[in-house]
Amino acid sequence: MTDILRLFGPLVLWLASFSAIYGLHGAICAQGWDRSLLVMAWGIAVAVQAAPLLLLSTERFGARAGFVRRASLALAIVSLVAVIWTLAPAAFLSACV
Amino acid sequence: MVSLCRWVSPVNALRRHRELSRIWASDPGWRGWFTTVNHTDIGRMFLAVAVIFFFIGGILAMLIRAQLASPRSPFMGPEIYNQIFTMHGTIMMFLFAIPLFEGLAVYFLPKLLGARDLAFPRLTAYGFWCYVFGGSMLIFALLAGIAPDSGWFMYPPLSSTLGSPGINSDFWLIGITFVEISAICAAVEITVSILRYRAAGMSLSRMPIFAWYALVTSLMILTGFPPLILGSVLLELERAFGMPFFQVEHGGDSLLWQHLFWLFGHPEVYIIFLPAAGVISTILPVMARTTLLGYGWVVVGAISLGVLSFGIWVHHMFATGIPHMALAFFSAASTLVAVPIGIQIFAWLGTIWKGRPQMHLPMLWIVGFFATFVIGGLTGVMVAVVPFNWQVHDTAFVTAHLHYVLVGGFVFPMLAALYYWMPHLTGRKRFFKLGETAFWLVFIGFHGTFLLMHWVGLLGQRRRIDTYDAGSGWEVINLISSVFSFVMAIGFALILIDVIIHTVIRSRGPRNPWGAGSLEWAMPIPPPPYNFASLPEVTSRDALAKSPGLALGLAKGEGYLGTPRDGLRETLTVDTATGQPNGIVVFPKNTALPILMAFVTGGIFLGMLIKAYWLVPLAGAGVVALSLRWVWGLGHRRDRGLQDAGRGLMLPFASETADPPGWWGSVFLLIANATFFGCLLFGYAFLWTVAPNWPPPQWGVADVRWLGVAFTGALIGPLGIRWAILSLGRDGSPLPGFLATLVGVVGLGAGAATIPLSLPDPTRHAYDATLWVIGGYGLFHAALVVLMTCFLIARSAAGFLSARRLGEARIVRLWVDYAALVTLAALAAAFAPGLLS
Amino acid sequence: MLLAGAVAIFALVMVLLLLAFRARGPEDSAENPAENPAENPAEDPAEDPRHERRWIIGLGLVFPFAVLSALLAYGLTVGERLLPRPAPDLVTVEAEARQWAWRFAYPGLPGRETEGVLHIPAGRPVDVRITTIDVIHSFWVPRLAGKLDAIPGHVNVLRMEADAPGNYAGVSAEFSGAGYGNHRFTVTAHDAAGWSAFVAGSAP
Repeated sequence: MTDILRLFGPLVLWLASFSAIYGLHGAICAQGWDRSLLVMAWGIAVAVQAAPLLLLSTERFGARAGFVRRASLALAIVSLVAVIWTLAPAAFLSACV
Repeated sequence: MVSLCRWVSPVNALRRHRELSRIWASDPGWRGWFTTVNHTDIGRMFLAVAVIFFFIGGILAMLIRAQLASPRSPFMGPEIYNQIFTMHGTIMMFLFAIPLFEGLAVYFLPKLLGARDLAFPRLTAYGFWCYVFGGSMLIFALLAGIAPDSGWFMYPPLSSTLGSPGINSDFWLIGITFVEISAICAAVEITVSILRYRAAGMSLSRMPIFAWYALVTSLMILTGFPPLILGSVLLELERAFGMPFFQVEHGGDSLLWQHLFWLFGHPEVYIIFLPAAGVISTILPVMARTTLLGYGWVVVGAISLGVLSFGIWVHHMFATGIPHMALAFFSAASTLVAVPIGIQIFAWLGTIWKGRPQMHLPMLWIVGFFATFVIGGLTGVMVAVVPFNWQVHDTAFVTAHLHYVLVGGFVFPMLAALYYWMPHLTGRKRFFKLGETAFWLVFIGFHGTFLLMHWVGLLGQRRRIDTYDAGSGWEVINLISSVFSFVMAIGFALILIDVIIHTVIRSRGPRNPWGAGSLEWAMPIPPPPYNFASLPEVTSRDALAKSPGLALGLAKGEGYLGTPRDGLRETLTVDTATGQPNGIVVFPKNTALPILMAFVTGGIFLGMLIKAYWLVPLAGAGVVALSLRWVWGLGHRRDRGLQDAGRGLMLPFASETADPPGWWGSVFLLIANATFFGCLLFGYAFLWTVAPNWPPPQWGVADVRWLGVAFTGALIGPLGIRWAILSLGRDGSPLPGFLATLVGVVGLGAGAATIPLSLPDPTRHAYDATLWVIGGYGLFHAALVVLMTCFLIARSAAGFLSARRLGEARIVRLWVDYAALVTLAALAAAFAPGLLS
Repeated sequence: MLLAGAVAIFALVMVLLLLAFRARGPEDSAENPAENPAENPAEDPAEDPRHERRWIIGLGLVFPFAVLSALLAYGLTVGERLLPRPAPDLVTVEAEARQWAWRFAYPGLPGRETEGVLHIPAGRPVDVRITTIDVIHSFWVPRLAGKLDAIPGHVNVLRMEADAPGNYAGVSAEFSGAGYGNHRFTVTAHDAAGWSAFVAGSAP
């Protein structure tokens, strides 16, 4: 069952970061906070998303079986790409129009 | 009759077959339909009913096209038309597509996985009957002319008391929620079955690819359906009792519905697509006489698609005034989702390329899929681009896009599945070559109907209009669409005739007509009620390809559990990752309990629908009583120890293992439950921050004493149940622990009750209404756990619990912990805003 | 441009599909479905990694990423340009929707209201403040701008600009019940003289 967590975990982490930053955007626009908060949050999300990739490559936390090991690492990379790609607008677009 | 067959030597295949058939057979005749718990029967029933609903939805589509064939058509007025198109969408999405997947999964998964049935056979039956009863409510409404008419996504205020004061919307909200119970049950069961009910040696990497897709799909159902269930509950509470979740004058917001609906709605369409992709991944390699290219990549693609699809729901709301940056997040995610889809498409193309493809009828449908779904995917990427979306949203362009992806991406692969597996279901081979003609009629009819529809959408034709003016320039395209839609209908009718002929003409076919390598072909066809006379051990991904003599060997009893024991229905559970067998499961026999339970559950929904509110608690009590009866039949009154599982392997019964399947069933049900609660908290936060007319007239204020009671309860409850489990482990009495649990949980309930009590009128403001729901949720779970704990006390007294038979207590521990967590979260959410301001 | 790109990609996929069905050597045996796949001589698992690189990584990953990033960048840039930013000659109008008619007001002209016809100046940016008094509707003038919903309790602002004077058809683009089909309005864009006349109160 831990293998299932290894496979789905990284992307679920992306979903959590994505939802949090979407919510943060709502708060920033409603409360008038500075948009640099969003860029910082994006940076943190990217850093956090590197964690599953690093952990899954280790002996202790990574899967033993070859298939699950490769698949979980691939999914960890997918999640990292997703965090970078889907939240990039935080840095490039107008904040609250 | 005492069974002498315990001592039958494992040699005579025919005697084994007869004995197993006797044990596993459903009751004969009509009675069998109502008491069966066998997945083969129920799978067929699901498929048949889903197809019936498809044809009903198809007739509605014909009515739509008849209306739109000419401008200012007098065929029907807007009131009827609005019911017709709403029901067309509703039936196709909820009563056809999802149940068809359920039917396919229910019928095939145990066979593909090398097991004898799904994890919870009575639950399968219960889910089926909930589907039938819920669907019947909607069809009744349709026939009585009081069907829902606010569009299949039912946006308030149009669908609420303001826009739809009649009973129409209630049929949708209540009927669909009833049907969704079926989906949640199926999803819990499919998840547990795929993870634990497999052939020995079937590690995760040796699972058939369809099982991976079904696993992702069922996890998506568990997390994707609760937002809609919540939304439906809230909207029905608003309609029935005036609790203003979506009424802006009282602090509600209609956008909340849109978020909840699309949080469900987008994953829903991938829940529909993924099983079809699983079908293609299974059938296409067989048609191409090779193995799937990039199995691992396809698994990664399916999982990526499943989770990414939860981050793109706002692309259905691009025109609602949300700021551009937020839209951009979702536009980016929506384009990203095309990548895992593309990986699968190219994996399939590469499979054909490296194989030796043969154009049998299933392959023809798969080619049809490629030609159609790819177009739909490309228009999908177009509508993911925000400025383009701002033009085509709510036009016929979107209608065309969605039909391309749903018909191309689901219906065509399922028709391939029909022709591929029809020999399995019936044991016969095709007689006439009607299928090819039907394919061309459907394919040409489909493209004729929907291709030009993109253009008329770009010209400005909106969706859901009941008619249009002469001189708009849309007449020709609409007429062409309508004509070709009839061609398509004829094609579908031909398929139906083809299937009927196939079932009726007794032309026996070969056992494995496609030369496939997956386990469902390692049995006689049509399949016996027990699937495998003995359970296989697999060492590779295409087990049958590796050992062609497997079917015969299993029939001769060379596998596991080849000797029936005490007339019991048995199968193996395995370790999730490695496929190592670790337990024997005993399944229930035929029973009418599931249909009875579904009927009584229906009483709760019916009571809400016709506003006979006395019926709701009465039916609720009935459900509780039946549940106790249901669960009481499980387990053993004494430790049984290790049992002979065949081939020299000794295994315990699952009830004597640390994590019996029921425990995992609870885990996954709790995941769905937690998603529901999470959405409730999200909705609360949304209303608090976004909805106009906040703050409410009065914040709820907590009574600190009751907070203390709840907090203490949150400590005592979980500690109590753990104490009970520890006592059981030491062969002591669990009673003190159970009593402590009771005390703790009652405290939790009391704390939860203070939430609604602090604000007496739930109709005053959305805040009050939300607090009532949050408090009610906590109270419900406290009551549920009280019931469970009393049940455990009775079970303990009757001897069902022991140091080895701890599973039931551990299941209740899950629910105690959950109740404690949600009550604390509910109290914090309810009273925090008041404390902060 | 989107259409051209889509057609090209569709053609690529179809060509690949057709080519995948190409005739193969003497091992072809298309008429014998019941043969045992384990005896399949054309099957060589060692070839798979090469296929994987070409199909899955090349076509399945690299190709979509390239196309999608270009498309996304383009779409977001265009979206940014359409946003209602401050402008010196901006005119603001109000559009209030209900089942099933439109009423327009002009904040600069208190007390002026029109039913079913929205008057704007041509050649100047216009912000439409969209509201509703009952269910959700949507403000859409296809030739002038994308659509924007009217959500109860919210005011959504749409930027549009008519390049030339004239009449532009508008519709509500959110299903709103029995009268949805005919829920229309017209936008009349005036030239400078016409707009001055309207503002003064004399234009129709």
